[in-house]
Amino acid sequence: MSSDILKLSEVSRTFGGLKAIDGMNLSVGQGVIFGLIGPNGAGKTTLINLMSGLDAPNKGTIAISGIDLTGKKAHHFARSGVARTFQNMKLFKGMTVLEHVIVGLDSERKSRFWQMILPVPSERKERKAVSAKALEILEHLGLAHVADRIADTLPYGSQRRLEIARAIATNPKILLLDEPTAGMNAVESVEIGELLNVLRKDGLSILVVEHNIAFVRQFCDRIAVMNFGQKIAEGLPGETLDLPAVREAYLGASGAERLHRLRAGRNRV
Amino acid sequence: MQLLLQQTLNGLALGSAYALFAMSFGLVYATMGVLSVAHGAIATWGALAALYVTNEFGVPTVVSVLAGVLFAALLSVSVDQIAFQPLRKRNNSLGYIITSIGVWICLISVGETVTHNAPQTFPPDFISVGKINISSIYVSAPQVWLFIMGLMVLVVLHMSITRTKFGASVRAVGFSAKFSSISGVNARLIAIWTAAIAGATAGLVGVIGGSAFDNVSMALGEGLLLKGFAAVVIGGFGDVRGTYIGGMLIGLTEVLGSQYISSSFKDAISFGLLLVFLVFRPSGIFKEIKFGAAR
Amino acid sequence: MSHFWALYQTNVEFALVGCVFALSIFVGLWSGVLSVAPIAFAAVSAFAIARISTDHPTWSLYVLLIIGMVFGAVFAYLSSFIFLRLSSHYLALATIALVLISRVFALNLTTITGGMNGVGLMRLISFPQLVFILVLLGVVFQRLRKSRFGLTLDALREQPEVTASLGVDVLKIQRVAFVLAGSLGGLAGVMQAQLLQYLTPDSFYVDLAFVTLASAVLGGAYHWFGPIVGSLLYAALPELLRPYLGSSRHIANGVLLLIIMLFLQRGVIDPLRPLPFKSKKTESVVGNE
Repeated sequence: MSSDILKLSEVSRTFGGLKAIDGMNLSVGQGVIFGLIGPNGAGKTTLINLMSGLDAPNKGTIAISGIDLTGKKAHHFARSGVARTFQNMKLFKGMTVLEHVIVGLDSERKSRFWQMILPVPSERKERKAVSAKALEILEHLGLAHVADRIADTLPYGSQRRLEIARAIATNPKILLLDEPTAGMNAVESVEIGELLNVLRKDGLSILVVEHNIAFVRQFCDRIAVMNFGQKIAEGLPGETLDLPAVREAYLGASGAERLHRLRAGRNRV
Repeated sequence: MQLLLQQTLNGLALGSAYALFAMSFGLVYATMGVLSVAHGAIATWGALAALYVTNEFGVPTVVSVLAGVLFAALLSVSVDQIAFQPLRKRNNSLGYIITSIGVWICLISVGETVTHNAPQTFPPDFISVGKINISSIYVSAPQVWLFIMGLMVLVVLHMSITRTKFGASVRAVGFSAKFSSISGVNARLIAIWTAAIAGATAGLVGVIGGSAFDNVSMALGEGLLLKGFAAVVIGGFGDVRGTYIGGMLIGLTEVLGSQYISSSFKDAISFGLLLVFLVFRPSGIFKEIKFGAAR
Repeated sequence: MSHFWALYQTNVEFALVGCVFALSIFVGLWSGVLSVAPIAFAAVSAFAIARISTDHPTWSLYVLLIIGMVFGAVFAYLSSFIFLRLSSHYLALATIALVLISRVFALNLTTITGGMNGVGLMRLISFPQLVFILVLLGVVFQRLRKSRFGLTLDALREQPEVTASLGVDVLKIQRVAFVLAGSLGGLAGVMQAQLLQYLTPDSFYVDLAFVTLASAVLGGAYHWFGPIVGSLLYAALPELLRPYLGSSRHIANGVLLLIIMLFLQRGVIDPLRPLPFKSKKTESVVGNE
């Protein structure tokens, strides 16, 4: 569908002899929260790297809002509306919370190099405007009160939020989140989920890679399940998660069988 | 024709010096990922040690050479343990260059004082008797020794790296210090042994080269360093055979280029090729399996 | 005081120019690039200015300095297309190779450089002018530090992938930094030429490159003031120890570099190690005051 914000067609990525992604087809529509789950090593982070331009596929195409961006560099993807966060949260050491978002706003800024050396009023005006806009974003995400704090002194949950704030500063059409609730308890996870709902209301599409099945059930409109670089299932969270193929992927064939027997009421394991 | 032959022989001798140095430099670079700009100074210091032993104690040449080689080996190990070992836990491969600069400064400044900033020479009968003369083509004994040593070290290094357990350990550490220690390789010990061997070879080049070129000075080491570095890049550092050929190539082009083009042009080819290879083919002529490095 | 000056004026002047060299290396490091290319560009500018100032003795110092900066910038821009596409490791080595080659050129372009004999030039620069230039550079760098350029460079150096994913054209900004470094190299080259008053192919060679790199990193490559401190320290230390170490006094610099690199990895001046009067809030939320 041309209304898809993100569309992967027959995407494959091979590293040496290893096929990390194999014939992947995926579409994310406007205003959808799409969940991507799968066991470790399934290729989820590789897929996000491909979708954000940090890596390029060996086969297949990647289109953002109908425009083919296959093989283009990361900043092209960003400027076409793709934003992302990282699994090992990558904050800027030594920078304040506000400065993180200001960096995120970089592609909107117009000041040129010579304007930065000479004390021209246009540069100072732009700096003020950017700071104000950054503060607005922080307010939207509930971080305005720590704007001048050094980012790595924040508690973990706030750092994750900051990463998201930095990403949406680029005014994206789609946000790719790599395990945003990792290391969080149930309460914090729900907070993140509610944040995603707010962002979705703002018009954003979101693709979230997650291990937290409860989170995925509660907040995703649609999910896809990956294993060994392939999509093994896709659909609504409830039904998809109950598919035997999905259970097998996580627990292995014997584990899935055991779970089935447990659920069927036999207590002997 | 005679001139060509003469200069070719000179080129082979010079090339052997470069090849020897390059192999030792490449050993440290390939296995440890350490680009040590101090390595040339280690070669000079080996020569200085040999010179000292000769002048002070008048011992047979073999003893002096051994003294120089041993001194350089010890120096190399000390440098490795002081300047590089502490950096191995950190994930910063370019940090080695900086600490090696620190060591280089130390070695150069003391070396210049000791040599009074003037080239020293070995006694004239240091390595056998004068020159061999075959139908008025002159080859000096040190030049012959350089060539022989070059080949010998090549064979020994290649054999030990590819055929021995030690060599396998060296290659494992070069690939990954972390994973090799899981299979029981003591990365630190390997680093020490590698530094020792590299230092010894550098010392050997310093002594014999210093004798062949009648020049023991810090400049000797620096010349070896720059050309050795070029040889390692051009010939490839993954395999000592490639490094050897790289060194020989540079020595030959330098001498022949100097003779037939112009003496001020002699470095142009070596450094020009160096840049070209770095930009277009960093793995060198002989694209072997790269070690990666113990970063 | 005048006795001190008579003894040390030359040292101080060369130290100040060393600061400019160190700043040129710093700019590269700021953008995540270890490059000693500015030394090669310094050579280009220096020899060009030597020629130009001899042919046009009436041209003012500032004109010569600007020409030097332009030479540095242009050569940096052109060579950036070769160097910036290399991975960081090979890039560093390639810039070393560039310095090596620059000497070969200096040796062989005898009409411009005088070959092995070198070339002389008149000194036009005064000590106050040296200081003024350095102060000016300090102002410029301080402005850049918190500008869009500076912040983006900080981010790029810290997390290059993140910065790219935020829409920053990394290659473009590295090119800007490379050109800036080149023009600073050109500036330093002209200043150095003015002090030396005589240039040879060895005037801008790998030894200068390594020493400059060392000074920049020693002083601290995370703030523009670091390389200045590093260069001044590097020049001052041996002189302080001259009565004790005599001709080996430069060993102190080597030892200092090793100590700093082993214990203060980020150099002497490190914005993350706040000074007593700095007001950045660094206390953790998990209070333990």
